[in-house]
Amino acid sequence: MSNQANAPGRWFRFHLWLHRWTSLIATIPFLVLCITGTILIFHEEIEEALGEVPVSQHAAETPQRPASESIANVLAAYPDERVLSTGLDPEHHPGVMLVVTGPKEARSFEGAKLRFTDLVTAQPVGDPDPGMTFTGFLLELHAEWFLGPIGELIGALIALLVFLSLVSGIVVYAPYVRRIAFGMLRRGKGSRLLQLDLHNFIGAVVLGWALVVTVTGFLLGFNSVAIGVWQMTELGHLREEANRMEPVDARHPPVDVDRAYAIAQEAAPAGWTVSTMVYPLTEFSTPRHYTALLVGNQGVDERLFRVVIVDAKTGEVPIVPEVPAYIKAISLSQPLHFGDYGGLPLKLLWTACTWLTLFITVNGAWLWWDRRRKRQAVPAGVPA
Amino acid sequence: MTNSSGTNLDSRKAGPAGANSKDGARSQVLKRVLVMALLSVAGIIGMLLVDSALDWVFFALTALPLVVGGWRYLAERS
Repeated sequence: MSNQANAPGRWFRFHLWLHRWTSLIATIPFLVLCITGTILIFHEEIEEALGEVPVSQHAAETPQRPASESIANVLAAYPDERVLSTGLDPEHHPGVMLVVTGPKEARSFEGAKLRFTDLVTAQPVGDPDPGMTFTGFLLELHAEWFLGPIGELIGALIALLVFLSLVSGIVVYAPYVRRIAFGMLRRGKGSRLLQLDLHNFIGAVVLGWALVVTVTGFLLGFNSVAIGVWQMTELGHLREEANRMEPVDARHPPVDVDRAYAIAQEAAPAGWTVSTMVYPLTEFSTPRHYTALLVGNQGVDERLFRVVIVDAKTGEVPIVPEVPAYIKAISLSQPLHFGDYGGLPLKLLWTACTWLTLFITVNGAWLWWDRRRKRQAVPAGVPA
Repeated sequence: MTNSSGTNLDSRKAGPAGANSKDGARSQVLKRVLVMALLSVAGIIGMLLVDSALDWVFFALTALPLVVGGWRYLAERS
């Protein structure tokens, strides 16, 4: 071995320091993220098994009542509330409509209630509290640490630490891999060497996956910030214009929700379907306009969304705003982070990679602790 | 004996890395690990972007590091 290799350079030592401390700081929160993330990979299956989302008891071809009837029935059942948005998801929740409500004066979706109606009968069929469901609870912990947008930013910070740990880990791995064959585990030479080999070997195997999950986790941490920027910039101009117009009764807009769906669908580009209608006078709409959210029907478009603005008084479509690139990047980060877009094989691969990463996180912390313990055990004056 | 990184400085005894003929091959290992990681990233993104029969090709790319790792693990054990 050359002297240069025996005495690591400043570059190596800096990355070793960075790898050690970014990993150690992120260890506990990262463990929580790995455990909750593993469960959230299967959120659709869990929600279905636990019956967390109400389902329609009618056949798919049964004629459906207008959405406005569902709205009227929800408002009759909850007279002190207003509708903030409605949502249709025929693929995952066929036959039911999601009606998001809040107090009469509510503008924000913070603390909103979820009410489901059966589209065949237009009657309410359930109102699960997303914070109280198993997967909802875990998602709030995983994505926000129960702290709202601040928690999202904390998640982004953890992702940044893990990203730095991965990149510095590659630099630290370089001299190691020149000495130890890829996949070699030195058994019978002490637990430290075996754990070190496992750490490096598994780290190399999950590197690509971990980079994707970390970068997308970082982007997802800026979800609320990005939407806030979009609201203040492009959507802000529309709101300024709308403020000069006569507002509508947000509880009973002149253009009802069925017509708003039809108008938005007519204005939608081919291959896009209206999924969500945000009522006027919310944080995502103006006092005068509905905001329709559209999802694509196939390929990557299924993971993106578009927006159509509908005048709730005249039924005109004043603008079809372009979704900014940073919002698209965050939208695409969600499936890339949770691995829920490739069926069961991809979910199982995601689970395997998560558990392997969980293992090297714990054994990396053990390697640090073991070395520290041995150093402390050496009497003063004796070279380690 | 390990250095400050925990890297084994006596590993030449444990493995065949001391042999000159294998030094060149070992220096290629890091590149291969990085290429595998990049292919895995391409597979993950490809599966999302492309909705066709190519899905299985991209899935294979995504799983490549795990497959190679599993193969190397079994090869080293035997």
